[in-house]
Amino acid sequence: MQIETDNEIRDLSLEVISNKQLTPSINVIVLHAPEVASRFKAGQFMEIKVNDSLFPLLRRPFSIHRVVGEQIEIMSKVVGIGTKILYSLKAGEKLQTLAPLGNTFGYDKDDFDLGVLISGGIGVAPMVMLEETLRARSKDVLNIVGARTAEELVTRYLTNVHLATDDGTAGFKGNVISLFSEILPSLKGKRLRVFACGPNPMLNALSKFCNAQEIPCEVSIESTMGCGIGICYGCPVRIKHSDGTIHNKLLCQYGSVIDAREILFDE
Amino acid sequence: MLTTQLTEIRPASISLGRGLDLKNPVLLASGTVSYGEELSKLTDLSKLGGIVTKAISLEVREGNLPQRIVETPAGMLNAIGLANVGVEKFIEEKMPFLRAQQFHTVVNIVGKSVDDYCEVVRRLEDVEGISGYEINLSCPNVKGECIIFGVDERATFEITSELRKCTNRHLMIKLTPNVTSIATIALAAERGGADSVSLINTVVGMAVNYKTRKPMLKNVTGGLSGPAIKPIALAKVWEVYNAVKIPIVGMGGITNFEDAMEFFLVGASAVQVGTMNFVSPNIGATVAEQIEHYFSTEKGTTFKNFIGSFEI
Repeated sequence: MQIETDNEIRDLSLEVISNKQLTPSINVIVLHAPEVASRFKAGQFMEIKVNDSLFPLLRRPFSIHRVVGEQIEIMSKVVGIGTKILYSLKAGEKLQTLAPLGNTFGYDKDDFDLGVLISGGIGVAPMVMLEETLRARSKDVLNIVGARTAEELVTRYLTNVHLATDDGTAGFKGNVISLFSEILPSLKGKRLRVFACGPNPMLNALSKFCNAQEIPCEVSIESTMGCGIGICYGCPVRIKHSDGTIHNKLLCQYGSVIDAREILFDE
Repeated sequence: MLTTQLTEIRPASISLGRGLDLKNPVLLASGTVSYGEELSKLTDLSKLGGIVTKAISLEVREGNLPQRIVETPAGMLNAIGLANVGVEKFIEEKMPFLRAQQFHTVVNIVGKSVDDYCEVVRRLEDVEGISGYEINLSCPNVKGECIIFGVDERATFEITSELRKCTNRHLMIKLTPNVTSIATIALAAERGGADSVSLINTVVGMAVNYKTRKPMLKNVTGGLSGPAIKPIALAKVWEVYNAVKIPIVGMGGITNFEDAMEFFLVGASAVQVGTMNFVSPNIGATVAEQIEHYFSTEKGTTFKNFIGSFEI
Protein backbone atom coordinates (compact mmCIF):
# COMPACT_ATOMS: atom_id res chain seq x y z
CA MET A 1 0.00 0.00 0.00
CA GLN A 2 2.24 2.79 1.22
CA ILE A 3 5.86 2.28 0.45
CA GLU A 4 7.75 0.68 -2.38
CA THR A 5 10.22 -1.77 -0.95
CA ASP A 6 13.15 -3.72 -2.29
CA ASN A 7 11.17 -6.87 -2.54
CA GLU A 8 13.60 -9.38 -3.91
CA ILE A 9 12.25 -12.47 -2.18
CA ARG A 10 14.74 -15.05 -0.96
CA ASP A 11 14.06 -18.71 -0.15
CA LEU A 12 16.52 -19.34 2.68
CA SER A 13 17.28 -21.93 5.32
CA LEU A 14 17.80 -19.95 8.53
CA GLU A 15 19.30 -21.19 11.77
CA VAL A 16 17.46 -20.79 15.05
CA ILE A 17 19.65 -18.90 17.52
CA SER A 18 17.22 -19.14 20.40
CA ASN A 19 13.58 -19.78 21.22
CA LYS A 20 12.21 -18.07 24.28
CA GLN A 21 8.82 -19.12 25.69
CA LEU A 22 7.30 -15.90 27.03
CA THR A 23 3.95 -17.34 28.12
CA PRO A 24 2.45 -20.85 28.07
CA SER A 25 1.45 -20.19 24.46
CA ILE A 26 3.61 -17.35 23.11
CA ASN A 27 7.25 -17.65 22.09
CA VAL A 28 9.89 -15.59 20.31
CA ILE A 29 12.22 -17.27 17.85
CA VAL A 30 15.49 -15.56 16.96
CA LEU A 31 16.83 -16.44 13.52
CA HIS A 32 20.25 -15.75 12.04
CA ALA A 33 19.41 -14.05 8.74
CA PRO A 34 22.35 -12.03 7.44
CA GLU A 35 21.05 -12.09 3.84
CA VAL A 36 17.70 -10.48 4.55
CA ALA A 37 17.60 -8.99 8.06
CA SER A 38 18.53 -5.46 7.00
CA ARG A 39 15.92 -5.45 4.25
CA PHE A 40 12.91 -6.03 6.48
CA LYS A 41 10.60 -3.08 7.04
CA ALA A 42 7.89 -2.68 9.66
CA GLY A 43 4.73 -4.53 8.68
CA GLN A 44 6.37 -7.05 6.38
CA PHE A 45 6.13 -10.77 6.93
CA MET A 46 7.79 -14.05 6.09
CA GLU A 47 6.57 -17.55 5.23
CA ILE A 48 8.01 -20.29 7.42
CA LYS A 49 8.09 -24.05 6.84
CA VAL A 50 8.04 -25.35 10.41
CA ASN A 51 9.70 -28.67 9.60
CA ASP A 52 10.93 -30.61 6.57
CA SER A 53 8.11 -33.16 6.68
CA LEU A 54 4.96 -33.29 4.54
CA PHE A 55 2.84 -32.69 7.62
CA PRO A 56 2.15 -29.90 8.10
CA LEU A 57 2.59 -29.26 4.41
CA LEU A 58 2.35 -25.52 3.82
CA ARG A 59 4.45 -22.66 5.08
CA ARG A 60 2.86 -20.22 7.48
CA PRO A 61 2.97 -16.42 7.47
CA PHE A 62 4.53 -14.54 10.41
CA SER A 63 5.07 -10.83 10.81
CA ILE A 64 8.50 -9.59 11.79
CA HIS A 65 8.67 -8.77 15.48
CA ARG A 66 12.14 -7.21 15.63
CA VAL A 67 15.36 -6.93 13.68
CA VAL A 68 18.61 -6.75 15.63
CA GLY A 69 21.67 -6.62 13.40
CA GLU A 70 21.74 -9.86 11.41
CA GLN A 71 19.05 -11.43 13.54
CA ILE A 72 15.31 -11.38 13.07
CA GLU A 73 12.76 -12.19 15.71
CA ILE A 74 9.42 -13.86 15.13
CA MET A 75 6.71 -13.84 17.79
CA SER A 76 4.39 -16.82 17.52
CA LYS A 77 1.32 -18.02 19.39
CA VAL A 78 0.30 -21.66 19.53
CA VAL A 79 -2.94 -22.02 17.56
CA GLY A 80 -2.42 -25.26 15.68
CA ILE A 81 0.05 -27.95 14.73
CA GLY A 82 2.52 -25.64 12.98
CA THR A 83 2.81 -23.11 15.79
CA LYS A 84 3.01 -25.96 18.31
CA ILE A 85 6.14 -27.20 16.54
CA LEU A 86 7.57 -23.67 16.56
CA TYR A 87 6.90 -23.35 20.28
CA SER A 88 9.25 -26.20 21.13
CA LEU A 89 11.91 -25.51 18.51
CA LYS A 90 15.51 -25.80 19.70
CA ALA A 91 18.51 -23.59 19.00
CA GLY A 92 20.53 -24.93 16.10
CA GLU A 93 17.51 -26.21 14.17
CA LYS A 94 16.83 -24.73 10.75
CA LEU A 95 13.72 -23.23 9.20
CA GLN A 96 13.07 -22.77 5.49
CA THR A 97 11.81 -19.22 5.01
CA LEU A 98 10.57 -17.02 2.19
CA ALA A 99 11.24 -13.36 2.86
CA PRO A 100 10.73 -10.48 2.88
CA LEU A 101 7.06 -10.52 1.86
CA GLY A 102 4.29 -7.95 1.71
CA ASN A 103 4.04 -4.19 1.97
CA THR A 104 4.84 -2.05 4.99
CA PHE A 105 3.04 0.15 7.46
CA GLY A 106 2.80 3.76 6.28
CA TYR A 107 5.34 5.04 8.80
CA ASP A 108 6.76 7.55 6.32
CA LYS A 109 3.47 9.40 5.81
CA ASP A 110 3.66 13.05 6.79
CA ASP A 111 0.01 13.42 7.82
CA PHE A 112 0.58 12.49 11.49
CA ASP A 113 2.70 13.30 14.53
CA LEU A 114 1.42 10.58 16.87
CA GLY A 115 1.26 6.96 15.82
CA VAL A 116 -1.40 5.07 17.76
CA LEU A 117 -0.43 1.40 17.71
CA ILE A 118 -3.41 -0.78 18.52
CA SER A 119 -2.95 -4.50 18.85
CA GLY A 120 -5.01 -7.45 19.99
CA GLY A 121 -3.57 -10.80 21.08
CA ILE A 122 -0.63 -11.93 18.97
CA GLY A 123 -1.27 -8.84 16.81
CA VAL A 124 1.25 -7.17 19.10
CA ALA A 125 4.04 -8.99 17.22
CA PRO A 126 4.82 -6.37 14.51
CA MET A 127 4.38 -3.37 16.82
CA VAL A 128 7.90 -3.42 18.27
CA MET A 129 9.52 -2.95 14.89
CA LEU A 130 6.90 -0.35 13.98
CA GLU A 131 7.50 1.63 17.18
CA GLU A 132 11.27 1.63 16.59
CA THR A 133 10.72 2.77 13.01
CA LEU A 134 8.37 5.58 14.06
CA ARG A 135 10.69 6.77 16.84
CA ALA A 136 13.58 6.86 14.36
CA ARG A 137 11.44 9.30 12.39
CA SER A 138 10.79 11.43 15.48
CA LYS A 139 7.13 10.47 15.67
CA ASP A 140 5.38 10.09 19.00
CA VAL A 141 4.01 6.67 19.82
CA LEU A 142 1.11 5.48 21.95
CA ASN A 143 0.44 1.77 22.34
CA ILE A 144 -2.91 0.21 23.12
CA VAL A 145 -2.46 -3.50 23.72
CA GLY A 146 -5.36 -5.84 24.31
CA ALA A 147 -5.75 -9.50 25.23
CA ARG A 148 -8.39 -11.76 26.68
CA THR A 149 -6.67 -11.97 30.04
CA ALA A 150 -3.60 -10.59 31.85
CA GLU A 151 -1.44 -13.66 31.32
CA GLU A 152 -1.81 -13.40 27.54
CA LEU A 153 -0.48 -9.84 27.47
CA VAL A 154 2.96 -9.34 25.97
CA THR A 155 4.30 -5.80 25.81
CA ARG A 156 8.07 -6.27 25.71
CA TYR A 157 10.05 -3.37 24.18
CA LEU A 158 6.89 -1.25 23.80
CA THR A 159 6.63 2.14 25.53
CA ASN A 160 3.71 4.39 26.50
CA VAL A 161 1.50 1.32 26.79
CA HIS A 162 -2.21 1.32 27.70
CA LEU A 163 -3.58 -2.13 28.49
CA ALA A 164 -7.01 -3.63 27.95
CA THR A 165 -8.22 -7.09 28.90
CA ASP A 166 -11.60 -8.66 28.24
CA ASP A 167 -11.82 -9.92 31.82
CA GLY A 168 -10.31 -6.84 33.48
CA THR A 169 -7.37 -8.76 34.99
CA ALA A 170 -5.03 -6.03 33.74
CA GLY A 171 -5.63 -2.43 32.71
CA PHE A 172 -8.91 -1.34 31.20
CA LYS A 173 -11.75 -3.88 31.30
CA GLY A 174 -13.03 -4.16 27.78
CA ASN A 175 -11.69 -4.15 24.25
CA VAL A 176 -9.05 -1.95 22.66
CA ILE A 177 -11.59 0.10 20.73
CA SER A 178 -13.46 1.09 23.89
CA LEU A 179 -10.14 1.99 25.49
CA PHE A 180 -9.10 4.01 22.45
CA SER A 181 -12.36 5.96 22.51
CA GLU A 182 -11.73 6.75 26.20
CA ILE A 183 -8.20 7.98 25.48
CA LEU A 184 -9.14 9.87 22.33
CA PRO A 185 -10.37 13.13 23.95
CA SER A 186 -6.98 13.54 25.63
CA LEU A 187 -5.30 13.43 22.21
CA LYS A 188 -7.31 16.34 20.87
CA GLY A 189 -5.31 18.64 18.60
CA LYS A 190 -2.75 16.00 17.71
CA ARG A 191 -2.49 14.61 14.21
CA LEU A 192 -3.05 10.86 14.63
CA ARG A 193 -2.56 7.81 12.47
CA VAL A 194 -3.70 4.44 13.75
CA PHE A 195 -1.71 1.30 12.96
CA ALA A 196 -3.46 -1.89 13.99
CA CYS A 197 -2.95 -5.63 14.02
CA GLY A 198 -5.09 -8.31 15.62
CA PRO A 199 -8.02 -10.61 15.00
CA ASN A 200 -10.19 -9.61 12.03
CA PRO A 201 -13.33 -8.83 14.12
CA MET A 202 -11.24 -6.34 16.12
CA LEU A 203 -9.81 -4.78 12.95
CA ASN A 204 -13.29 -4.59 11.45
CA ALA A 205 -14.69 -2.73 14.48
CA LEU A 206 -11.64 -0.48 14.69
CA SER A 207 -11.79 0.36 10.98
CA LYS A 208 -15.43 1.40 11.34
CA PHE A 209 -14.63 3.48 14.42
CA CYS A 210 -11.68 5.26 12.79
CA ASN A 211 -13.53 5.82 9.52
CA ALA A 212 -16.45 7.39 11.41
CA GLN A 213 -14.05 9.59 13.41
CA GLU A 214 -12.08 10.40 10.24
CA ILE A 215 -8.85 9.17 11.81
CA PRO A 216 -6.41 7.71 9.27
CA CYS A 217 -6.09 4.02 10.04
CA GLU A 218 -4.27 1.10 8.51
CA VAL A 219 -4.73 -2.48 9.49
CA SER A 220 -2.44 -5.49 9.12
CA ILE A 221 -4.82 -8.28 8.19
CA GLU A 222 -4.62 -11.92 9.21
CA SER A 223 -5.55 -14.62 6.70
CA THR A 224 -4.98 -18.22 5.87
CA MET A 225 -2.20 -18.10 3.30
CA GLY A 226 -1.06 -20.92 1.04
CA CYS A 227 2.09 -19.64 -0.62
CA GLY A 228 2.68 -15.98 0.27
CA ILE A 229 3.90 -15.20 -3.25
CA GLY A 230 0.70 -14.80 -5.27
CA ILE A 231 0.44 -18.18 -6.97
CA CYS A 232 -2.16 -20.11 -4.95
CA TYR A 233 -4.90 -17.43 -4.88
CA GLY A 234 -5.86 -18.64 -1.42
CA CYS A 235 -5.84 -15.33 0.50
CA PRO A 236 -8.39 -13.01 -1.07
CA VAL A 237 -9.57 -9.83 0.63
CA ARG A 238 -12.43 -7.63 -0.52
CA ILE A 239 -11.18 -4.18 -1.47
CA LYS A 240 -13.40 -1.17 -2.09
CA HIS A 241 -11.61 1.19 -4.45
CA SER A 242 -12.05 4.97 -4.41
CA ASP A 243 -14.30 4.74 -7.48
CA GLY A 244 -16.68 2.52 -5.51
CA THR A 245 -15.90 -0.74 -7.30
CA ILE A 246 -15.19 -3.83 -5.21
CA HIS A 247 -12.62 -6.42 -6.16
CA ASN A 248 -10.94 -9.44 -4.64
CA LYS A 249 -7.24 -8.84 -4.10
CA LEU A 250 -4.68 -11.33 -2.80
CA LEU A 251 -3.61 -10.29 0.68
CA CYS A 252 -0.05 -11.54 0.16
CA GLN A 253 0.34 -9.22 -2.84
CA TYR A 254 -1.85 -6.24 -1.89
CA GLY A 255 -1.17 -6.28 1.88
CA SER A 256 -0.87 -7.37 4.48
CA VAL A 257 -1.28 -3.70 5.53
CA ILE A 258 -4.44 -2.17 4.09
CA ASP A 259 -6.11 1.23 4.54
CA ALA A 260 -9.17 0.97 6.80
CA ARG A 261 -11.29 2.82 4.22
CA GLU A 262 -10.52 0.19 1.58
CA ILE A 263 -10.93 -3.10 3.38
CA LEU A 264 -14.29 -4.85 3.49
CA PHE A 265 -14.53 -7.54 6.12
CA ASP A 266 -16.57 -10.69 5.75
CA GLU A 267 -19.48 -10.32 8.14
CA MET B 1 15.08 -19.52 -29.34
CA LEU B 2 12.60 -21.94 -27.81
CA THR B 3 12.67 -24.14 -30.91
CA THR B 4 16.45 -24.47 -30.93
CA GLN B 5 16.43 -25.45 -27.27
CA LEU B 6 13.85 -28.11 -27.82
CA THR B 7 15.45 -29.80 -30.78
CA GLU B 8 18.54 -30.54 -28.70
CA ILE B 9 18.81 -34.19 -27.81
CA ARG B 10 18.29 -34.38 -24.07
CA PRO B 11 18.10 -37.46 -21.84
CA ALA B 12 14.43 -37.14 -20.93
CA SER B 13 12.95 -35.13 -23.80
CA ILE B 14 9.52 -36.24 -24.89
CA SER B 15 7.06 -35.34 -27.60
CA LEU B 16 3.44 -35.32 -26.48
CA GLY B 17 2.28 -34.72 -30.03
CA ARG B 18 1.30 -31.87 -32.32
CA GLY B 19 4.32 -29.73 -31.46
CA LEU B 20 4.32 -30.10 -27.72
CA ASP B 21 7.92 -31.32 -27.69
CA LEU B 22 9.21 -31.04 -24.14
CA LYS B 23 12.92 -30.84 -23.35
CA ASN B 24 12.09 -32.74 -20.19
CA PRO B 25 8.83 -34.22 -18.90
CA VAL B 26 8.13 -31.72 -16.10
CA LEU B 27 5.37 -29.14 -16.29
CA LEU B 28 3.98 -27.03 -13.50
CA ALA B 29 0.27 -27.57 -12.94
CA SER B 30 -2.51 -25.12 -13.60
CA GLY B 31 -3.61 -23.14 -10.59
CA THR B 32 -0.25 -23.46 -8.87
CA VAL B 33 1.88 -21.09 -10.97
CA SER B 34 -0.49 -18.24 -11.75
CA TYR B 35 0.93 -17.04 -15.11
CA GLY B 36 4.57 -17.74 -14.31
CA GLU B 37 5.89 -14.33 -13.44
CA GLU B 38 5.83 -14.58 -9.65
CA LEU B 39 7.65 -17.94 -9.61
CA SER B 40 10.21 -16.77 -12.16
CA LYS B 41 11.70 -14.55 -9.45
CA LEU B 42 12.35 -17.58 -7.25
CA THR B 43 13.29 -20.34 -9.66
CA ASP B 44 14.69 -20.88 -13.14
CA LEU B 45 11.58 -21.82 -15.10
CA SER B 46 13.67 -22.48 -18.23
CA LYS B 47 14.77 -25.74 -16.61
CA LEU B 48 11.20 -27.02 -17.02
CA GLY B 49 9.44 -28.58 -19.96
CA GLY B 50 6.75 -25.99 -19.49
CA ILE B 51 4.02 -24.51 -17.37
CA VAL B 52 0.25 -24.75 -17.50
CA THR B 53 -1.39 -21.40 -16.79
CA LYS B 54 -4.13 -20.71 -14.31
CA ALA B 55 -7.49 -21.45 -15.96
CA ILE B 56 -8.60 -18.78 -18.42
CA SER B 57 -12.26 -18.09 -19.11
CA LEU B 58 -13.94 -15.85 -21.64
CA GLU B 59 -14.75 -13.26 -19.00
CA VAL B 60 -12.85 -12.03 -15.95
CA ARG B 61 -13.79 -13.91 -12.77
CA GLU B 62 -13.52 -12.72 -9.19
CA GLY B 63 -13.50 -16.23 -7.75
CA ASN B 64 -14.95 -17.38 -4.43
CA LEU B 65 -15.02 -15.40 -1.22
CA PRO B 66 -12.69 -16.46 1.59
CA GLN B 67 -12.05 -18.90 3.03
CA ARG B 68 -10.64 -20.48 -0.10
CA ILE B 69 -8.06 -22.92 1.26
CA VAL B 70 -7.69 -25.26 4.22
CA GLU B 71 -4.67 -27.34 5.08
CA THR B 72 -5.33 -31.03 5.74
CA PRO B 73 -2.93 -33.85 6.64
CA ALA B 74 -0.27 -33.91 3.89
CA GLY B 75 -2.51 -31.91 1.63
CA MET B 76 -4.82 -29.00 1.17
CA LEU B 77 -8.36 -28.30 0.09
CA ASN B 78 -8.98 -25.41 -2.25
CA ALA B 79 -12.07 -23.73 -3.60
CA ILE B 80 -10.62 -20.73 -5.42
CA GLY B 81 -13.49 -20.59 -7.90
CA LEU B 82 -11.46 -20.09 -11.08
CA ALA B 83 -10.49 -16.50 -10.31
CA ASN B 84 -8.77 -15.22 -13.47
CA VAL B 85 -8.18 -12.14 -15.58
CA GLY B 86 -10.24 -13.31 -18.57
CA VAL B 87 -8.91 -14.15 -22.03
CA GLU B 88 -8.43 -10.61 -23.36
CA LYS B 89 -6.43 -9.38 -20.38
CA PHE B 90 -4.51 -12.64 -20.40
CA ILE B 91 -3.40 -11.98 -23.98
CA GLU B 92 -2.60 -8.36 -23.28
CA GLU B 93 -1.01 -8.57 -19.83
CA LYS B 94 0.29 -12.10 -19.31
CA MET B 95 1.34 -13.35 -22.75
CA PRO B 96 4.21 -10.84 -23.32
CA PHE B 97 6.07 -12.36 -20.35
CA LEU B 98 5.22 -15.95 -21.30
CA ARG B 99 6.16 -15.48 -24.96
CA ALA B 100 9.68 -14.43 -24.00
CA GLN B 101 10.38 -17.56 -21.94
CA GLN B 102 12.40 -20.68 -22.65
CA PHE B 103 9.64 -23.13 -21.78
CA HIS B 104 6.37 -24.23 -23.28
CA THR B 105 3.21 -22.43 -22.25
CA VAL B 106 0.09 -24.55 -22.15
CA VAL B 107 -3.03 -22.49 -21.50
CA ASN B 108 -5.65 -24.03 -19.25
CA ILE B 109 -9.16 -23.19 -20.42
CA VAL B 110 -12.45 -23.26 -18.60
CA GLY B 111 -16.01 -22.40 -19.61
CA LYS B 112 -19.71 -22.74 -18.99
CA SER B 113 -20.61 -24.17 -22.38
CA VAL B 114 -19.03 -25.78 -25.43
CA ASP B 115 -19.27 -22.40 -27.16
CA ASP B 116 -17.44 -20.75 -24.26
CA TYR B 117 -14.49 -23.13 -24.52
CA CYS B 118 -14.35 -22.82 -28.32
CA GLU B 119 -14.50 -19.03 -28.17
CA VAL B 120 -11.53 -18.85 -25.78
CA VAL B 121 -9.54 -21.16 -28.06
CA ARG B 122 -10.49 -19.10 -31.11
CA ARG B 123 -9.26 -15.92 -29.43
CA LEU B 124 -5.98 -17.57 -28.45
CA GLU B 125 -5.38 -19.42 -31.69
CA ASP B 126 -3.46 -16.63 -33.42
CA VAL B 127 -1.60 -15.54 -30.31
CA GLU B 128 2.06 -16.47 -30.55
CA GLY B 129 3.89 -18.25 -27.77
CA ILE B 130 1.23 -20.80 -26.88
CA SER B 131 2.11 -24.47 -27.35
CA GLY B 132 -1.21 -26.06 -26.51
CA TYR B 133 -4.36 -26.03 -24.47
CA GLU B 134 -5.25 -27.99 -21.39
CA ILE B 135 -9.02 -28.24 -21.28
CA ASN B 136 -10.32 -28.09 -17.76
CA LEU B 137 -13.34 -30.37 -17.66
CA SER B 138 -12.82 -31.10 -14.05
CA CYS B 139 -12.83 -28.14 -11.68
CA PRO B 140 -14.98 -29.28 -8.76
CA ASN B 141 -15.49 -25.83 -7.23
CA VAL B 142 -17.82 -23.97 -9.55
CA LYS B 143 -21.30 -25.38 -9.66
CA GLY B 144 -22.86 -26.42 -12.97
CA GLU B 145 -19.74 -25.66 -14.96
CA CYS B 146 -16.77 -27.53 -16.37
CA ILE B 147 -17.17 -30.54 -14.12
CA ILE B 148 -20.53 -31.36 -15.76
CA PHE B 149 -18.58 -32.20 -18.93
CA GLY B 150 -15.79 -34.11 -17.23
CA VAL B 151 -18.04 -36.59 -15.45
CA ASP B 152 -19.93 -37.53 -18.60
CA GLU B 153 -18.51 -39.71 -21.38
CA ARG B 154 -20.72 -38.29 -24.13
CA ALA B 155 -20.17 -34.63 -23.11
CA THR B 156 -16.41 -35.21 -22.96
CA PHE B 157 -16.45 -36.66 -26.47
CA GLU B 158 -18.55 -33.80 -27.82
CA ILE B 159 -16.55 -30.97 -26.32
CA THR B 160 -13.26 -32.56 -27.38
CA SER B 161 -14.43 -33.02 -30.96
CA GLU B 162 -15.72 -29.44 -31.13
CA LEU B 163 -12.44 -28.10 -29.77
CA ARG B 164 -10.50 -30.29 -32.20
CA LYS B 165 -12.21 -28.38 -35.04
CA CYS B 166 -11.06 -25.05 -33.53
CA THR B 167 -7.35 -25.72 -33.16
CA ASN B 168 -4.31 -27.36 -34.66
CA ARG B 169 -2.45 -26.91 -31.40
CA HIS B 170 -1.92 -29.61 -28.82
CA LEU B 171 -5.16 -30.46 -27.05
CA MET B 172 -4.77 -31.93 -23.56
CA ILE B 173 -7.93 -32.92 -21.72
CA LYS B 174 -7.71 -32.68 -17.94
CA LEU B 175 -9.65 -35.39 -16.18
CA THR B 176 -11.32 -35.59 -12.81
CA PRO B 177 -10.91 -38.58 -10.49
CA ASN B 178 -14.44 -37.96 -9.17
CA VAL B 179 -16.03 -40.46 -11.56
CA THR B 180 -16.87 -44.15 -11.58
CA SER B 181 -14.62 -44.97 -14.51
CA ILE B 182 -11.89 -42.51 -15.45
CA ALA B 183 -10.76 -44.82 -18.28
CA THR B 184 -14.16 -44.45 -19.99
CA ILE B 185 -13.87 -40.65 -19.91
CA ALA B 186 -10.25 -40.81 -21.12
CA LEU B 187 -11.32 -42.99 -24.06
CA ALA B 188 -14.05 -40.49 -24.94
CA ALA B 189 -11.44 -37.71 -25.02
CA GLU B 190 -9.18 -39.86 -27.20
CA ARG B 191 -12.04 -40.61 -29.62
CA GLY B 192 -12.85 -36.91 -29.73
CA GLY B 193 -9.35 -36.11 -30.96
CA ALA B 194 -7.39 -35.24 -27.83
CA ASP B 195 -3.60 -35.34 -28.18
CA SER B 196 -3.14 -36.22 -24.52
CA VAL B 197 -4.97 -36.49 -21.22
CA SER B 198 -3.79 -35.03 -17.94
CA LEU B 199 -4.83 -36.45 -14.59
CA ILE B 200 -5.80 -36.19 -11.86
CA ASN B 201 -7.52 -32.95 -11.00
CA THR B 202 -8.32 -32.57 -7.31
CA VAL B 203 -10.40 -35.01 -5.31
CA VAL B 204 -13.61 -33.58 -3.84
CA GLY B 205 -13.28 -33.19 -0.10
CA MET B 206 -14.56 -31.24 2.85
CA ALA B 207 -13.31 -29.84 6.14
CA VAL B 208 -15.70 -28.89 8.92
CA ASN B 209 -15.58 -27.35 12.37
CA TYR B 210 -17.67 -29.26 14.90
CA LYS B 211 -17.61 -26.34 17.36
CA THR B 212 -19.00 -23.69 15.03
CA ARG B 213 -20.90 -26.36 13.05
CA LYS B 214 -19.74 -24.59 9.90
CA PRO B 215 -17.73 -25.66 6.86
CA MET B 216 -14.12 -24.47 6.78
CA LEU B 217 -14.48 -23.38 3.14
CA LYS B 218 -16.98 -20.76 2.00
CA ASN B 219 -17.76 -23.08 -0.91
CA VAL B 220 -18.44 -25.91 1.60
CA THR B 221 -16.59 -28.52 -0.48
CA GLY B 222 -13.21 -28.14 -2.16
CA GLY B 223 -10.61 -30.01 -4.12
CA LEU B 224 -8.01 -32.02 -2.23
CA SER B 225 -4.46 -31.87 -3.55
CA GLY B 226 -0.94 -32.56 -2.31
CA PRO B 227 0.89 -35.73 -1.26
CA ALA B 228 -2.28 -37.08 0.36
CA ILE B 229 -3.74 -37.87 -3.08
CA LYS B 230 -0.67 -39.43 -4.72
CA PRO B 231 -1.86 -43.05 -4.27
CA ILE B 232 -5.19 -42.18 -5.92
CA ALA B 233 -3.42 -40.42 -8.78
CA LEU B 234 -1.06 -43.35 -9.40
CA ALA B 235 -3.99 -45.79 -9.57
CA LYS B 236 -5.89 -43.55 -12.00
CA VAL B 237 -2.87 -43.05 -14.28
CA TRP B 238 -2.32 -46.82 -14.38
CA GLU B 239 -6.00 -47.39 -15.16
CA VAL B 240 -5.98 -44.85 -17.99
CA TYR B 241 -2.63 -46.10 -19.33
CA ASN B 242 -4.22 -49.49 -19.84
CA ALA B 243 -7.09 -47.96 -21.78
CA VAL B 244 -5.77 -45.26 -24.14
CA LYS B 245 -2.97 -44.91 -26.68
CA ILE B 246 -2.44 -41.14 -26.40
CA PRO B 247 0.17 -39.82 -23.93
CA ILE B 248 -0.76 -39.31 -20.30
CA VAL B 249 0.39 -36.36 -18.21
CA GLY B 250 0.30 -37.53 -14.61
CA MET B 251 -0.11 -35.40 -11.52
CA GLY B 252 -1.29 -35.55 -7.95
CA GLY B 253 0.95 -35.05 -4.95
CA ILE B 254 4.36 -35.04 -6.62
CA THR B 255 6.86 -33.70 -4.10
CA ASN B 256 10.18 -34.95 -5.44
CA PHE B 257 12.07 -36.91 -8.12
CA GLU B 258 11.02 -40.31 -6.75
CA ASP B 259 7.33 -39.40 -6.94
CA ALA B 260 7.72 -38.31 -10.56
CA MET B 261 9.49 -41.58 -11.43
CA GLU B 262 6.56 -43.53 -9.96
CA PHE B 263 4.20 -41.74 -12.34
CA PHE B 264 6.41 -42.55 -15.36
CA LEU B 265 6.60 -46.16 -14.22
CA VAL B 266 2.81 -46.57 -14.26
CA GLY B 267 2.43 -44.94 -17.65
CA ALA B 268 2.76 -41.15 -17.55
CA SER B 269 4.83 -39.64 -20.37
CA ALA B 270 5.14 -36.38 -18.47
CA VAL B 271 4.19 -35.05 -15.07
CA GLN B 272 2.87 -31.86 -13.57
CA VAL B 273 4.02 -30.57 -10.21
CA GLY B 274 1.28 -28.67 -8.41
CA THR B 275 0.68 -27.99 -4.73
CA MET B 276 4.37 -28.44 -3.89
CA ASN B 277 5.13 -25.18 -5.76
CA PHE B 278 3.46 -23.40 -2.84
CA VAL B 279 5.82 -25.05 -0.40
CA SER B 280 9.00 -25.06 -2.44
CA PRO B 281 9.13 -22.65 -5.39
CA ASN B 282 12.18 -24.40 -6.86
CA ILE B 283 10.74 -27.92 -6.73
CA GLY B 284 9.80 -28.27 -10.42
CA ALA B 285 13.26 -27.28 -11.65
CA THR B 286 14.89 -29.59 -9.10
CA VAL B 287 12.76 -32.57 -10.16
CA ALA B 288 13.44 -31.84 -13.85
CA GLU B 289 17.20 -31.73 -13.27
CA GLN B 290 17.16 -34.96 -11.32
CA ILE B 291 15.14 -36.76 -13.99
CA GLU B 292 17.57 -35.60 -16.68
CA HIS B 293 20.51 -36.64 -14.55
CA TYR B 294 19.00 -40.07 -13.89
CA PHE B 295 18.39 -40.86 -17.54
CA SER B 296 21.75 -39.52 -18.62
CA THR B 297 23.64 -41.72 -16.15
CA GLU B 298 21.44 -44.80 -15.75
CA LYS B 299 22.56 -47.54 -18.09
CA GLY B 300 20.16 -50.07 -19.54
CA THR B 301 17.08 -47.87 -19.91
CA THR B 302 15.97 -44.81 -21.77
CA PHE B 303 13.26 -42.46 -20.60
CA LYS B 304 10.87 -43.62 -23.32
CA ASN B 305 11.42 -47.27 -22.44
CA PHE B 306 10.89 -46.53 -18.78
CA ILE B 307 7.40 -45.09 -19.35
CA GLY B 308 4.83 -47.73 -18.41
CA SER B 309 7.48 -50.35 -17.64
CA PHE B 310 5.58 -51.32 -14.50
CA GLU B 311 5.89 -55.05 -13.72
CA ILE B 312 3.12 -56.76 -11.80
